[in-house]
Amino acid sequence: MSVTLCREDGVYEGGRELEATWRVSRVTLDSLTAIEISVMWYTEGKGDMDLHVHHFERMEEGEIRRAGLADRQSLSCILPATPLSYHGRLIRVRWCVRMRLFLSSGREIVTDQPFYLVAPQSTKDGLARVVGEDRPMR
Amino acid sequence: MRRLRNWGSIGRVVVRNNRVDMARFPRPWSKKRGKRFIGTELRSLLWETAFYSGVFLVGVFVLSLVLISELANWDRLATLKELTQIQPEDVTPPELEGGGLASWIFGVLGIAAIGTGAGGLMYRLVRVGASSERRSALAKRASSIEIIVPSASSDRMPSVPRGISLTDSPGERLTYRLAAEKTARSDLIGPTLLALLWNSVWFVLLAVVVLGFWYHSPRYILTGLLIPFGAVGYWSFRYFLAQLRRSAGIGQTIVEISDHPLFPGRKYRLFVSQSGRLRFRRLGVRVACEEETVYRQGTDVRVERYEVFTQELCAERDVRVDPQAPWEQQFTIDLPSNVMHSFVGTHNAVRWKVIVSGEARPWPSFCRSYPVVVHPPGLPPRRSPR
Repeated sequence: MSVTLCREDGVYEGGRELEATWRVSRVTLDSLTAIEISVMWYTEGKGDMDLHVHHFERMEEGEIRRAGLADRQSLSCILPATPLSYHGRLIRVRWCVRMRLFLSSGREIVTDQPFYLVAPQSTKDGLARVVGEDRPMR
Repeated sequence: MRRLRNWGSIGRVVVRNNRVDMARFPRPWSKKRGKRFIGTELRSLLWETAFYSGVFLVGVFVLSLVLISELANWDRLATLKELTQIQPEDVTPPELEGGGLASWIFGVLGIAAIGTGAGGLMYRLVRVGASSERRSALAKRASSIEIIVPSASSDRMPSVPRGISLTDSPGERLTYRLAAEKTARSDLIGPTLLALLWNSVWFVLLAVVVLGFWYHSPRYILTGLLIPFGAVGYWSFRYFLAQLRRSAGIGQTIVEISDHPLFPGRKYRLFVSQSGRLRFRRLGVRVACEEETVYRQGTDVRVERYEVFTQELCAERDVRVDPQAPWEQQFTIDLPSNVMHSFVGTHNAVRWKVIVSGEARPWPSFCRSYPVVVHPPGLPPRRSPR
């Protein structure tokens, strides 16, 4: 399974639209019970993890059969202004599109497509920067 | 003769000077002349606190005497009877008979003393570390609290603290007066409760012992226990007074800011005023951004903090502060553009604060924090009525 973002650099301004496409391959329709797609942020670091889902979609078995697995599916949402991606000493705030497949065998397969959420109007000059990261995101 | 008169006048002057230098004893019956000694605010606070605590404890003692002698007549309170070893049907004098006028008078007086002491103590302690303007603003805010608070700001910027309470107090020099993260009063709650509750229990036990002696059936073990209990009560009360002195001794710190919330890449003016009567060995003001994480380690919950950004605004040595001349300074905060905004999650947070810290003698070193909220850059600032 794969998730592709609409921007190659994966840098999005807060308040702007995120578009992504996803596709499931090498899995048969019969073996799938549900698919969940979420746009979310979570924290990493020394503390316990905080997690917040901004956008969530779930496809049940019937819906998956109607849509099929051959075509790429699309996803879009307006991103919030905060929290911005952050790379600190004790805390890191990471954004991602997370896709979770529920198989009929009871297994789950998860994949993350990370992206960066930066301050509004900071990508105009092409030097958008994630706080805590030394290099600018081009 | 003229010389002698001159010597005499010189002698009188010397004596007068000696009188001035001598220690002054309070003489309430004499007419006050010349420069009057009013005393410091700290001293008046300590005396008032001691007075109201005394009134409260005397009230507890009197009420305990009345209640014990009254309730001892009830058959169902056999435990109390046994404790005091009172045989009321044999020895109770007529004036202490259940429902007697004396019992009512002393009972009402005891309750009044408890109410007066507790009320006076609370009123006096609430005024520690809070200016009249701030109390007024708090009272105004309390009267205008709405049950349903709109959450438009949190929808616009999730996980960024709203900080509405930080801007409800107008400043005298700049737009907003910032509220301290932890007030001096919160340090006093524990010692106050400990001192009052422990000493109340001690006075109740004292009443039991006194009544035992009164009815010729003394309880010597309880009497002996009163001594160590009294020592603990004395220590707790001294500790309470020491905490009170510490809280009130270092005067009020006022921090005002020109605008709020803050945005990275902008400049803000900051006004800091430190009052009191003391001499600081070191006094510093800085703006800091602190990461805070909460994590579980086994069965323990631990909190770790780390300052990721600090901007020192002032670091002075040997600063003298008088009640007439508080230390006042204005600074400029220059926030860099590549800093993280304020963030609050369930277990993690990025907090911004203005920190005023100092070391003074004879007081312990202090550190007062004034939280501020930093929004991400590029967003239109919220319109403020101020």
